[in-house]
Amino acid sequence: MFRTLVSITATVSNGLDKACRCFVCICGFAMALVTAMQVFFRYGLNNSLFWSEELGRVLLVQLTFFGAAVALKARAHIGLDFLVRNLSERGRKVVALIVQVLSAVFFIVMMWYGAHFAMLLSKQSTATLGISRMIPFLAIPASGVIMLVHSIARFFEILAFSPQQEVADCEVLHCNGKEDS
Amino acid sequence: MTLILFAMLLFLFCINVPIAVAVGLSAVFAFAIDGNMNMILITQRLYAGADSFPLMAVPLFMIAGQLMGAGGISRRIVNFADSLVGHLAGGLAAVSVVSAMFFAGISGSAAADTAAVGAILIPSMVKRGYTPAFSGAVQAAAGSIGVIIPPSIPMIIFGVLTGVSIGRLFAAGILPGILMGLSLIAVCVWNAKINGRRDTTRSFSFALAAKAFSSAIWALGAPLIIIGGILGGVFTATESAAVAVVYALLVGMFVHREIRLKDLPDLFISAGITSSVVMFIICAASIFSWYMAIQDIPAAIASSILSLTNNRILLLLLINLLLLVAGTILETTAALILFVPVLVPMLPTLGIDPVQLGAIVVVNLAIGMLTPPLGVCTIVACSIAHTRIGTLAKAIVPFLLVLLVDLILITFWSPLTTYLPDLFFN
Repeated sequence: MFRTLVSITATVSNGLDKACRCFVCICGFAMALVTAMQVFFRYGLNNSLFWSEELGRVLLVQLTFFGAAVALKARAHIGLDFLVRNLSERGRKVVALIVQVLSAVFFIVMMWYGAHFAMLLSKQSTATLGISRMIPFLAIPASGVIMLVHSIARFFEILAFSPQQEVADCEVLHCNGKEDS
Repeated sequence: MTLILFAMLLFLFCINVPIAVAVGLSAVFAFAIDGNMNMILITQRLYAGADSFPLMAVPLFMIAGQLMGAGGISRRIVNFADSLVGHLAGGLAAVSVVSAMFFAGISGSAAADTAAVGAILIPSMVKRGYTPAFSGAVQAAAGSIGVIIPPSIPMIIFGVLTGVSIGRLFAAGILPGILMGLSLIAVCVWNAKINGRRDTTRSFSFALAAKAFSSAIWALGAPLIIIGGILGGVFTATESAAVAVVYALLVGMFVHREIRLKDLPDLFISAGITSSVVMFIICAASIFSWYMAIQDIPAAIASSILSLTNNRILLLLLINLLLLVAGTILETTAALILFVPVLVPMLPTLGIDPVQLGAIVVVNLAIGMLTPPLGVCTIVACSIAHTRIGTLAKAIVPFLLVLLVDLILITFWSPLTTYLPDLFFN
């Protein structure tokens, strides 16, 4: 029973992560494209784009929150681990579980109140793109749900196995230069 | 109330809750205890934190840095730096500093700078007989220049927080960055002299330098476009970052031919992750700082500091001390968002240009990236050099000392930071 629960949450969490990765990649590419186009139109065609700045900001918000979900899954978010590191194996496990529960509280706030605020925004439309302001704002509740799922999956993972030394911080920063090595 | 907020934050930091979540969560608790606050405001501030055109430069510079690393630009920069300073005593260490300075002109992140140059130079320094601790220490110290020489992500955040022009802030970083680089090279040469080491017997060759320059010409074009474009008023920092992405993509794919189409998704995702880490902290901290602002906390802290002394020299020293201590345990972005609102009200008493304050703050936090427990540059350098943080921290002491001397100069000799901004923007 417990084993199936662990594997179901892990599967859902992995699937969501894959989708988020694709989306983050698209957002990053689109943001560079839109902003470069803005420069090209201003100097090349002498005709400033009026919607590029807003679209860029919308893309930045999406990249931030869905990227935060990918970073959570990859354990790339920075934390202070020097106190926790000195605990016993059992102590580390307990603290790691508490961290997941506390993080989940924040993700629930993002999900629940974010959904409420998105509803309030549904009737308003944005300045230049003319879409409902709800659409870009959905990034908050949606990423809240995804990070909640990651947290739950991680909680079960820690409960079922022993916590590993968290070295993910360095790994992600490190890969910036890996291509050259 | 404020005390509960900070105690909560400290507790969450100590048990290794990710910084962004810890900052956001303590705001949630403050709202819950306060009772008059609607939690909906939290989600609204979270969104508003990222909804900014200048901040778009953060992921764009990260993507550009990633593409330039993969496109063989960092390797060519290293070769060019080698032809310039490789003949010095302690030449290889000096090469790593000069390469990091050039790469700082492309990348806005110290961790990325340390990683990109360190991945090439730390292993070759160890191969030539430098200790892993020293090799890592040089690279970490040199990498911290990544946020001083423009582009610089902390400077962008400082500009967003204070409304100071990001172009002027970038210009203010150029001379301090060069000063820091030169003083780090001096330490490398001094270290080689007292240890009696020579990395090579060759002397400076103009032909070799010219050859390395011509093969690095596309690589060196990148900082020229970024810095020149911003200083010349051709485009904003954000636009220059987007142009840099396009440039890196074209050079990497069609000139150097080292990036294949199928490598692109991984490069974009990797840059996306590193920038989201920074952006998520900005967003969460913007809830926190908004809550502090409506309670008037930054102004209260500022006036209690000002009540201690009105002497501007003492005040500047006090600010430096505060930021250096904060830099050891706080992540750079979080430190900026917490401290800058406190420092801005002191500007009239300090009597310095806002861009100089920006430079002082960022140099302090850059030094904080070298000091454990939370020094991103040391963490990155350690993981490349395969050494322990404690060992590397000992090797980094001489570098830290010269950087502190530089910091004093930057704090008290204003032309260093204000000359170039006034030259380009007045």
